[in-house]
Amino acid sequence: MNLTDIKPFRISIFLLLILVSLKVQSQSVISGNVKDENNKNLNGATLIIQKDSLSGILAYAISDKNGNFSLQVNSPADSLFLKTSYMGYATKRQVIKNQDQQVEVILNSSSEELKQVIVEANMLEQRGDTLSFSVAAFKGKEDRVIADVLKKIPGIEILPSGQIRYKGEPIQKYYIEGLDLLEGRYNLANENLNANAVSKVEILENHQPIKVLDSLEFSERASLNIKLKKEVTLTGTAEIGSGLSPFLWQVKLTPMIFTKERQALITYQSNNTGRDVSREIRDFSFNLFSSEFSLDNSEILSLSELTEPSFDTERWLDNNAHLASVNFLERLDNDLDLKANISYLNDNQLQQGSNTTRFFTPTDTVDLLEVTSNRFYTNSLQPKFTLERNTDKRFLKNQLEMRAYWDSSRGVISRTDDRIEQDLNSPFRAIRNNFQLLSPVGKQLIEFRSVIGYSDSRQELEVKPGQFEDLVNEGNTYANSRQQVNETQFFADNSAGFTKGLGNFSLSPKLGIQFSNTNLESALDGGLNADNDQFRNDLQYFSNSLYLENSIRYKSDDESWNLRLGTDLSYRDLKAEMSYERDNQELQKLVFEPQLFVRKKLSAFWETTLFAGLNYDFGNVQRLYRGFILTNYRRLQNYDSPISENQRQNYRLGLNYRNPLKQFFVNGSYSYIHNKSNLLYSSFITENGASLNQALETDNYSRTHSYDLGLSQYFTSLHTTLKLNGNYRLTDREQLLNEALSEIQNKSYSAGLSLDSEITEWLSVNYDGTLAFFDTYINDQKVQHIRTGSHFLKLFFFPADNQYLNISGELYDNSVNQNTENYFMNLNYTYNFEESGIDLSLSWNNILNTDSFSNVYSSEFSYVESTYRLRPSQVLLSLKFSL
Amino acid sequence: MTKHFLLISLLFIYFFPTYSQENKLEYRITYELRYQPDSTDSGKIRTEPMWLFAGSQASLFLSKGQALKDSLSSSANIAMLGTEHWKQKASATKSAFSFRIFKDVSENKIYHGEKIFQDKLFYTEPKGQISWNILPESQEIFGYSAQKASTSFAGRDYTAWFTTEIPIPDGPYKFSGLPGLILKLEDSEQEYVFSFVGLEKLYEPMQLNIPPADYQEADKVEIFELKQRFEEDPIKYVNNYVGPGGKRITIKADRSQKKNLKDRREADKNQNPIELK
Repeated sequence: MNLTDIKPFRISIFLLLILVSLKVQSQSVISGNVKDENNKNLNGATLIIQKDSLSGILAYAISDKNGNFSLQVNSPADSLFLKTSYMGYATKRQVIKNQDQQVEVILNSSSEELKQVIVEANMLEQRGDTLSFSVAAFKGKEDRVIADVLKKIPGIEILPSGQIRYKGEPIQKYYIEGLDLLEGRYNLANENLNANAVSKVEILENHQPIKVLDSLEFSERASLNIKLKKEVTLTGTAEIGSGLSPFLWQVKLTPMIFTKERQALITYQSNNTGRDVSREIRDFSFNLFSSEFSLDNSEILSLSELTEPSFDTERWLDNNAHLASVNFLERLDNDLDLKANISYLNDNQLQQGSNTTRFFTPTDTVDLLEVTSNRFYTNSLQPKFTLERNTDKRFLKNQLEMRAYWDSSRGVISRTDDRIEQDLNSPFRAIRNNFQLLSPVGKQLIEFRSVIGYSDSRQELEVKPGQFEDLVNEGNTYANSRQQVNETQFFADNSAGFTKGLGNFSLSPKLGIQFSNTNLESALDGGLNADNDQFRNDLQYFSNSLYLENSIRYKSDDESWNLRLGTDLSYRDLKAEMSYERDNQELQKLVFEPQLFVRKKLSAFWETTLFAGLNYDFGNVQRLYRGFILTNYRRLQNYDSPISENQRQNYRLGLNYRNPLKQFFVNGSYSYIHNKSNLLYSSFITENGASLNQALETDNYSRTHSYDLGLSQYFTSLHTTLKLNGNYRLTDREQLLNEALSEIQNKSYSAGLSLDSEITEWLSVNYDGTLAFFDTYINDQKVQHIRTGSHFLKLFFFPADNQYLNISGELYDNSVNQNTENYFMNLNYTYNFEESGIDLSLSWNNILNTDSFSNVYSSEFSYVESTYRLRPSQVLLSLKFSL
Repeated sequence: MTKHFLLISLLFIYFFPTYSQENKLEYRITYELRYQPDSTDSGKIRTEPMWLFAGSQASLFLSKGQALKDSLSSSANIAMLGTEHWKQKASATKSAFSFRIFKDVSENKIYHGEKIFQDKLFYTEPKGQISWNILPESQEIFGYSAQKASTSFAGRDYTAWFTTEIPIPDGPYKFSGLPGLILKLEDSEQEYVFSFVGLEKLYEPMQLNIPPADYQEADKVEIFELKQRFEEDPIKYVNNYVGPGGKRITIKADRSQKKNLKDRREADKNQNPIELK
């Protein structure tokens, strides 16, 4: 080994000793600076000193921030070889004297690049995020269906409605083996697919379900893919239960089959236990066709209903439901899928209770007590057929949906000295076709959309006896009122647009035309004046719009900025053609509706979001009729006004802080909504509590400020999470009350606290409490103060791995003039037979046999104390097993 | 008045300056890492591809799986779901190594980043921990002439082979500062061996802030405690989470599931970390 060839980078004491002993060698310090031809300092350049171009390295250095370097050389040689290299520059080789000196190295830029060594690999171009979770790792012994497992996967939460969220955002698609069988109605699979048949759950983050949009439009949402163990899977779940009292039953049968080309899921469900079956066919799909044409019946006529309690339906819903649903998917060729989803629902519900309503007017208060008993008969058929082709080159989707309802309801209201019967029939039919085509033309992606729809609603409400003696029957009592309303609508919306990506920007302009024609006919029957023209309507309403929408998105490379700017411009042409010698109404307007959303990550712990938007809303046909309509037994309503114009400004600012190290999280937000409207709706309350509504033309405003704050802290030593949240909301608006203009102000404060604690391995406790106050002021005078509170306490016991006991207590309290309190207690025990895989569950709901739920709420000018009859104390035994 | 206050606070928030330097990384160097997850079982060897994104002044080193998980700019393709190719893609984001090493070459600074669930944290390595001895031996690797060097770091002794023909004074993990790219790095027990397998110019240079802009600096011990807490009970960790827009996430799991998860994590755990002390 030749010592002269080895020179350490740093001078250590050891080496110094050696150097001192070898006096023949001399040390020189060569320092200097590396620059490019433009005199710019180059940092990170590599400098090497050798004896000559072939020998070993004597010393080396890397230039610092200012391009400076310093080299210490121990060599007897007279001259040295200095090599300086830097990425993107030609390597400089020079011979220098071996002595202390300053060297200025100037490098010339070079287009020569480093020689590439290409990696032989299969997935280098892969992009997109997938997280895959093995079901076995999350599945517990008592988990039956895939929803039970999904709940445990980090980031996933399932809302009470069944909607799945990932990291707080609803998921976009729910695939089974890559096929979207159920569209948005994924609850059917999620709550019935046997967890044992599933091998993996894949979460596709930032998933763009439309292939041609891939890399053009960034998707924030995640999708789920359920991977099955076998190529052909025949599975399903069944549940049978029975209890008392009255006699209770609960049946649920859901067989399903999955193959590579064909998938089918069938379900039949029936119960009278208060379980809401319609929940299973709820559609959570993202509407690709942001259409204004709805397939739901928005009825003008209604029964006087009670407000449903906000807790679990199994505590209060008196039902008798049957649901059948058939879902079928066939992959016709490589990329073409045909889907059919047909559901039929039959339900018979009973609603009983009472309402005490106090109306405030500037001069007086009116009290009204109503004891209500309503029966609802629901019959609905909902078929949907979809044809979809999704390839890299083209996305095509055509969806034909139909709805048919044969709903009727019957209600009886008993008041202090009379009894009113209501009978409502509301058959409804609707059909809608959605077409979407996305195809690249040149470098742009062109999109065509078309929505065509037709709906027909026939409503008939009979009220016995008639309630509006003065208006309808010259002051005398009359036997009955029969109100008929027929509403038909034709709707078409066609548009073309394209999406273009430009670096970090993406641009998507769209041009479209929308046409809508609604016919509203109404007639009142019963009473001397009922055939008078003022109780009739025959209205043709046209709402057309030509629009140019544009959306610009920006996302910075490091994702700290996320920006979306929408600039929607439209020309609206609205016309209402009246009959019965009433004046026609017209409105033409050019409308600009901008929208801005910004998300900025300030640092690792701080994030802020900002939203600002302006939008308009014009003329709703259900607020244009001149002739009176009896919308419910005590509301006779007309709108003697022009076409309504609403302008809405919306601002929101949010700030988030999360410190994972301290397990401390805070978020706060402020929002402001400013509404301007050209019509003021007035209520005139008659002595028997009936109200007459009319609209007057005068500009009026409403403003809402909201402040929200949430905190969360985890205490490691106590195994406890504490969460706090608070909210303050202030609303101001103007309202005409018995022909006097009043300023109404609502203030609400609420605070919540929740504690989640694992006391021991076999016991965990959960507490949730909220307290809220509502104050109402009319013309700065406080007229109402309401306090509501709710407290939940849940205890979970795990005596063994296959057993589980849950005891819960609930308290709801309300106070206005007097205090009302509602207590509930429930118990649930589940035992799992490990060999057979059968779950036996025993639940005892409403142990205290609380017979009714009381609630108080207030609107701008009234407050209501409502009592809802609950299901009695009952015991249910059920068996759950896999097919 | 409130309007003005809002406007001012907004401006303040949106134009809050960030003190980090932006660098362009033009090259991607691929290493294959062969490692022994259990120091007592030399028969159990795993491999994982690692990427070094290098520029003239800065670099980022991380496992390929982590890098793929990060690439948010685009998304997956539906038709591929359920296919063999898809399975490969899904497994490609799996990684046993969660670190991201940010290096500022000319300043000789090293930042160790960790992403725990959604939380991004880093700590700064003390300066001058790795000092090299250049040794006379040389050999040819991938057609480059490579010279030997040695060092010790965090309880292991390493041998490196670097080439002055590639003027990138960088290398795998926290190793850099030699006058050329490290082509091979191995510890004396052969428990961690990084081998150069490729060098490619990126089609679009990658932007990198050093120190990492969206990472929060924290204490090394704190970070690893937090990471351990997440690995032991991810459900509890996520339950404390407040998501975008302040949305709360709550996941319920009972004892047996947690135990299940814990067992699996335990089994997957790397018992033989690269840094022994």
